[in-house]
Amino acid sequence: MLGEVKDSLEAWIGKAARADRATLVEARPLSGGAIQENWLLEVDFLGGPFTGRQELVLRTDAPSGVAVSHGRAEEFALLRAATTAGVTVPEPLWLCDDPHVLGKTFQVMRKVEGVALGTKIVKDLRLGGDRRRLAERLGRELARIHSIRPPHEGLEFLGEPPDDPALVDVVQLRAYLDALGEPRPVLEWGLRWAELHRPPPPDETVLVHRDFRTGNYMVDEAGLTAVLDWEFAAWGDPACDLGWFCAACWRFGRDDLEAGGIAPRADFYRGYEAEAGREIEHDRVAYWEVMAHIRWNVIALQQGHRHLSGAEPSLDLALTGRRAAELDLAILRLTPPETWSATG
Amino acid sequence: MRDRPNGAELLAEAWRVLSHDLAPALTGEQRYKALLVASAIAIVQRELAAGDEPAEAEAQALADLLGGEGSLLDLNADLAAAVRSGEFDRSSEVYAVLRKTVEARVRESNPTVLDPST
Repeated sequence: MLGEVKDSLEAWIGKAARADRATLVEARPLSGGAIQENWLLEVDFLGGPFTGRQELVLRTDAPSGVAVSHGRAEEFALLRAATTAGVTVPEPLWLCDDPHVLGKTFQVMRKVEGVALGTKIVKDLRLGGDRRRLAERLGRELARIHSIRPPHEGLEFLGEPPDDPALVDVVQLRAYLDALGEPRPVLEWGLRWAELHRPPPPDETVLVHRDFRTGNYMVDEAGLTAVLDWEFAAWGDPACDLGWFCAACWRFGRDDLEAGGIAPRADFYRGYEAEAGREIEHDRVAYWEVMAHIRWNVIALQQGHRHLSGAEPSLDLALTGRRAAELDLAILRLTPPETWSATG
Repeated sequence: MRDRPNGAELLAEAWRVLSHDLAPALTGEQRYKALLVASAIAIVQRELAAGDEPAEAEAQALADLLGGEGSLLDLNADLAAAVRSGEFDRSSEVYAVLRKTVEARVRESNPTVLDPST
């Protein structure tokens, strides 16, 4: 794909890096990421601050882009804000919105070494260093993300902060279900519970990552190397990220390790509270853990639908769709009638 | 009359060849894909074994609950709309039906999550 645009890409990258010359030594597609296309670039820079051989990652929007996720320009702005807040992310280098270079917007970041695959991280204890320290570190990282508050220069595209983030989610998830056009009584049961039992709006609305979980951060043998996948970030309730990270559906078979299948929850919470300087509201997180199962359930159905509709034939997507049943069961286990408040 | 081995018997052997002979010989992305195919086959096997019984039981349970007749799709649509409207808040009757039909679906899609203790 990059063959026919090699010259224009080299010229643009060379200019962006303030180099005398940039030579593309290698470009190969990286797997992973159904939403965007990732390319690993090896570039020889002559002159300028990047002189020498550099490994970079180029990200474009793939044809199957999901409307709800951010594009590259927005992701670039989020990575900038995260870097400033002290979050460990791949360093965002350049954004190109000139369609004459690649035909679509793309951003270039420094390549980060490590493994992200959730099943592998949970099973392979040689990765990630000491697991309890990794969980604590991730808690600190999340607190730093949550230190980003609206209004924030460069993040205007996120819109106005919601008055009632939980209600916004309920309404949006119902709309997604309606768009899928298939009745889902268990999700309706869960969403009705979520509507009735939602906590009051949070004291502080913050930047929430919305996909902060095992599988979306990278580790090497020593520990964390990067927090990835920023395309769902929004203004919201900080507890929604804590619930997403700890939800049983993101423990990859290690149900006993409540912090993302890697450590006890207390380690993750300790890191978060130390960095944030405020206590976690446990009931609020418990609510968002139920919501995590509901939201992941809807996303799984959407992914199955992407296969079914022919938009993106994929056995992976098809089987993800079939995970809806086990998520339905998890929702019912969390919301039996006796857990509904008397007023509800 | 169809010859044997029948479809279920062929699938069982296809699953065995794939997961015991092919997948262990593969690495990386190819191994991952082989295991996905094995998972898909296993779901189909469980669906074949269950036959029409789960759908019939679900239709009966929903018809009893809602007091009406209709296709499985219509009954589910009626139930979904009623739950959303709040008509069945805290209903242990509805909960029991949902739980039963979900367990039947999970028995086909991923029975490992059916822990008898819960």
